[in-house]
Amino acid sequence: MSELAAVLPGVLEKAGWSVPGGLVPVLAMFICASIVAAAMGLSAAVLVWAERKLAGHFQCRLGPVYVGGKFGWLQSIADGIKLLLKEDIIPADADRPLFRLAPYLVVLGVFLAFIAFPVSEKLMVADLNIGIFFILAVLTLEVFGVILAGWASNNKWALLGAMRAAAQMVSYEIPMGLAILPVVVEAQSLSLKSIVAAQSGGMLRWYVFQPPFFMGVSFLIFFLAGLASLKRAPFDLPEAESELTAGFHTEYSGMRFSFFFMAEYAGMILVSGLAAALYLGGWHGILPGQSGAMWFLLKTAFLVFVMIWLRWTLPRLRIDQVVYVGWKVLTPFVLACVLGQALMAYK
Amino acid sequence: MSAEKVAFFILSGLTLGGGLAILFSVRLMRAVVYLLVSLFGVAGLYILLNAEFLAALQVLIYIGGITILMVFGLMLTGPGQFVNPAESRLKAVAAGVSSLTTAIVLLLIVKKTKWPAGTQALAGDTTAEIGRLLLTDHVFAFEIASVLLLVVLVGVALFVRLARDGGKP
Repeated sequence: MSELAAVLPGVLEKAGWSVPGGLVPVLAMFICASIVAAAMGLSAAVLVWAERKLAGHFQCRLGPVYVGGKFGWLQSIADGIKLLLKEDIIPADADRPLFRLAPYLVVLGVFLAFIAFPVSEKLMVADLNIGIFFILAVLTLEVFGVILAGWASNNKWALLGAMRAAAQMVSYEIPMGLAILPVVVEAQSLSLKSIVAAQSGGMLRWYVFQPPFFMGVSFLIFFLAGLASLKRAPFDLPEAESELTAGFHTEYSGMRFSFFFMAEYAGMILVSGLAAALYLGGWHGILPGQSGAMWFLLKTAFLVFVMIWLRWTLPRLRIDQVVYVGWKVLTPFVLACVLGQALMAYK
Repeated sequence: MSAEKVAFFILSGLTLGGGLAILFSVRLMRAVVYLLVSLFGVAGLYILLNAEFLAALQVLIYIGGITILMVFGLMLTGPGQFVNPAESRLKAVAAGVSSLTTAIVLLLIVKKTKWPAGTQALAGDTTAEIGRLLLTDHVFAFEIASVLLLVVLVGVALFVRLARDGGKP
């Protein structure tokens, strides 16, 4: 963003617009925010398409394989238009202001997290020196929004879904946060830019391949915990449609419903991108010297594919199994990883 | 007015306005949402003071931890009004007296304290500095806090075990 603010006055002058100097940073912020918002919306459409197609092929569902124009891309657009035009229903017994507020909070959490999202050395909104920590912090807003949505709907399924979401997301925040620590210890920084910069020089320098694989194990834990905090299958208990209709967003329709959807898909990109940046070398290529946004996007896309793959392959866990895995499997393992990495750093 | 001042006034407005809204709302769940607004204002003030790490901690612990705990408790209640102001006059008087005393004491403390204003430049990386201080100068307080948390964890595990085994340790 600071680079954009530096370039902007020249561009504006060429276009013949006069903008007071004090407004240039504000303008730069607006441009960055609109780019992030547009990318979130578009990525949701693309991922819905990818999810449909992949689900069709994984589970031999005939519909998604054939429907929707060439390669089925029309389906996502039709879906988007349908959601825009649908009536926005608020149940009579719902807490109206909170019911309306909840989807915005959910989207806001993910949206804020994209501020520190490191696509490439230049392509990031801001390189915060608390980067990864900032992302973890603002993502908690999403949890709050989900719980609020479930409660404000005043519906038993929504409430049960929200309670599951709260239990699950709060438990999995701990292994997720701890899984980042080995990387932070190794890179000695919270800034995503310096964490990625420390992994330059080919595939073998990526943190995930560093022996004795403390960071490799924490990569797996981060990915699993991320999957759980996104409420994706096999951890999709909060919305388990076979028992809870649609969980916490049962009562939502139209655009407000699609906000939850958008947050989920943007969250998938966020978690995959973070995993790519923290453990898989971010924008660095396989061979030494290769780098660029393309590499980052490739890794992210691959991890998103794995998420979709897992969703359409694995059955849903029970809630006690979910909580068990979080507290009694992932947390001890990740603690061991943190300890091991800290001992390695202590010389 | 500089941009910093504008931001300061907006953020303190959020903080104080959120606080007042908590006071005057009779629905508990909405009060928690106002608390969220107020805490966000405080986090913004920290950022204005160049304490980004503290701001992120504020969001993570207070918004991600404490308000979610509150909401978790409130989720087992229904919507609607929980506090009836006209319920008891004695309660209202007692609450008024106690909050007035607290306010007076706080104001006196604020007035009496000499607020030291630092003049030297901030260290570039406040995160690293906080980490270093926590594990050197303030390691005792840090350890006490961790022991306290450990006691809480073990205690809760014990209580759950007791409840499950029917009261026999």
